[in-house]
Amino acid sequence: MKGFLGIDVGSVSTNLVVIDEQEEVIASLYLQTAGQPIKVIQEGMRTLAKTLPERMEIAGVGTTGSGRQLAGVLVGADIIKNEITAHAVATSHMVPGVQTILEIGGQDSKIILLRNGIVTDFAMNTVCAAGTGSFLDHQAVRLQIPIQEFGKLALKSTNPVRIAGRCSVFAESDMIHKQQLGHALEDIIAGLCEALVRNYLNNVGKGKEILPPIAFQGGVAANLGMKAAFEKALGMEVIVPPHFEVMGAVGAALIAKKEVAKVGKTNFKGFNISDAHYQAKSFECGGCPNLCEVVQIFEDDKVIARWGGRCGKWENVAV
Amino acid sequence: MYVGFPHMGNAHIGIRGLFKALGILTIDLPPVNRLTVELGAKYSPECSCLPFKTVLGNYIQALEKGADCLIMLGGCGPCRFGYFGNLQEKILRDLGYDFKMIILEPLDWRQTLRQLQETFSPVSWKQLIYASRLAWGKTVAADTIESFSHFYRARQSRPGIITGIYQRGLEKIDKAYDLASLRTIVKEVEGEMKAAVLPFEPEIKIALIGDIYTLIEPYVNYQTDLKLGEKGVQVERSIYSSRWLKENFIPWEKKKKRRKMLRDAKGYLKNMVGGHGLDTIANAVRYSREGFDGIIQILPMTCMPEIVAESILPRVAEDYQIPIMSLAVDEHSSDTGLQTRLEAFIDLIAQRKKDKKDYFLSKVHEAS
Repeated sequence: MKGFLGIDVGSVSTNLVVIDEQEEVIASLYLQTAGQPIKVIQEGMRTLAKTLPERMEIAGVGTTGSGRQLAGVLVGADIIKNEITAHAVATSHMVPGVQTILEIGGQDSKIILLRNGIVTDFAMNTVCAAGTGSFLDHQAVRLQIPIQEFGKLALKSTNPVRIAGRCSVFAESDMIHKQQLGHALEDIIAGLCEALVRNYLNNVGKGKEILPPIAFQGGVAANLGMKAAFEKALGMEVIVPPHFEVMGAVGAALIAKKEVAKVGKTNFKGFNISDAHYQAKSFECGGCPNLCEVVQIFEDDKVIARWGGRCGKWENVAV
Repeated sequence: MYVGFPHMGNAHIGIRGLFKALGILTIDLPPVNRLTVELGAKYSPECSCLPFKTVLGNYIQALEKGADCLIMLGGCGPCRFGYFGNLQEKILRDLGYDFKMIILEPLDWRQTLRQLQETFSPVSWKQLIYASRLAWGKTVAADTIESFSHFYRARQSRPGIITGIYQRGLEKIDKAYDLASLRTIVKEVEGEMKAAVLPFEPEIKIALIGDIYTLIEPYVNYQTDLKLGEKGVQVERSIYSSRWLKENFIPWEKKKKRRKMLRDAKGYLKNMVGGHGLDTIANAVRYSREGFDGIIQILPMTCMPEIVAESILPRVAEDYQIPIMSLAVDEHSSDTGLQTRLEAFIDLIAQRKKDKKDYFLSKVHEAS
């Protein structure tokens, strides 16, 4: 039995997904990156090796997310893809005919427009991270509500409070103020969801033609309050597809499957990479006044990859 | 007297050539780097644009290295640029530096000459003509090989090879002191580049438009042209220093250019909106008509003219069915984020050209 592995290394979470030849998800992992991508990838591979069926053979690997280069080198990826394309591929597969993808992850949010199955436009948040997963996490901790309950609570609200959502720091001040005024917790949380949706639509979604079917994914899609707020603001149904939280990894696996079908073989290094010792070190290159920060990845004592230089001379591992 | 001037891509080669030929000493700065931007951002108003901050950073670096005269361009378009020199002078004086500031106003040759004559020892007409021709020659040569690099990089036989030839060419141009050898260098560079490419046509052609400084200074645009080129995309940039000089210091060229811009932008924008706002719209229309596969607008955060253009570009994209992406940069932008957007934009275009898709996936894979 053949399986295809997709790995999405994001700033907050690292996700691993295995799909089978019928492109069904048979295993998925959602882990906290916690600033240690190498360790998390190794751990994830170890866990995955245990959960997969005995006869499963990995026939292709794709990586995506901001740590896609690193992950690609570690596991021997057949293809390294940006997360926008990965998300678009996965959602087209899960939600046939999808025209708009709203994605909110740990630290970034994006919108992808598709027409006739082809990406026609996209945008990512540039200067503002208000309303992404990290902020919601922080608020849940502050209000002492488990993040899983956060969304459900919002649905109980009958009279959402208006919260200033432009800046997450001011949003927090405003929430504290509303609490002090005596508003109910669920009304404040529902108000927060609405503020974040407003912020998203004004920032990332500005000037974009949002047409149904609309898919909402990324970690924040677990929040029922956010889904409801999107539906209210857009006046349209919003679909949260299955595996919404690991969609990037699903996309990477689908792309890897296609790539391997074309190339005919995989570069996958096997699950035993979890036993090797990997290390990332960086140095400032003094070769010219550009002062590039070059990152080196070591497998035991051997350099297996370098990047970060502007001139390209360090990319050659033999140097 | 030691003259300090800011960087803008390869413009320093021509400027340095001009001063050297006039016997005026200059301060040679390293290319714009992290330190330049950090220094500039530290002492600039928060909402000023990245070009302002970078230029200020360059001035501080020059003054620290012993410059006592700074040169800046002025202007009177409805963009903040016209006041950059004056404001930067004020900031630098507040920081306690002592220097002479010369602000050259385009379209006013007489004043420019007088300013230069007053500051520097008397320069003969003969010397001035020789120096200007040399500086012009160097600027054109540097711009020519840069446009070659945009063309050939997409076809290169191995990563980085064209960039290497281009960099060596720039060094030679910097050292050359007569027009004949400049011509030879340009020919040599083209020959070397031709020998370093594979015989195929790039599938994707992307035009870069937007604010002049952001387009020309590689540190500020995160080397977008190079990133695209290394992924097998042929790039064309809407502006070079030499063209800008021609269009701003020669009155009839300026008129001709403005007429052309207004004609191209017809139906979208009928006024100068400052900076390069009108140019951005006109160029977007022109490149769409010329059959480019995609357009990327690069603008500094808070740049008013480019923001006006940005809000009009979706209509151009709709009318000509061409993907247009706007990238705003400031000192907080991230290289990773930019890389992701560029890769996704290339994918988007490749998907549109579906029949050629397989070729590109392999190309992108190779490059990454």
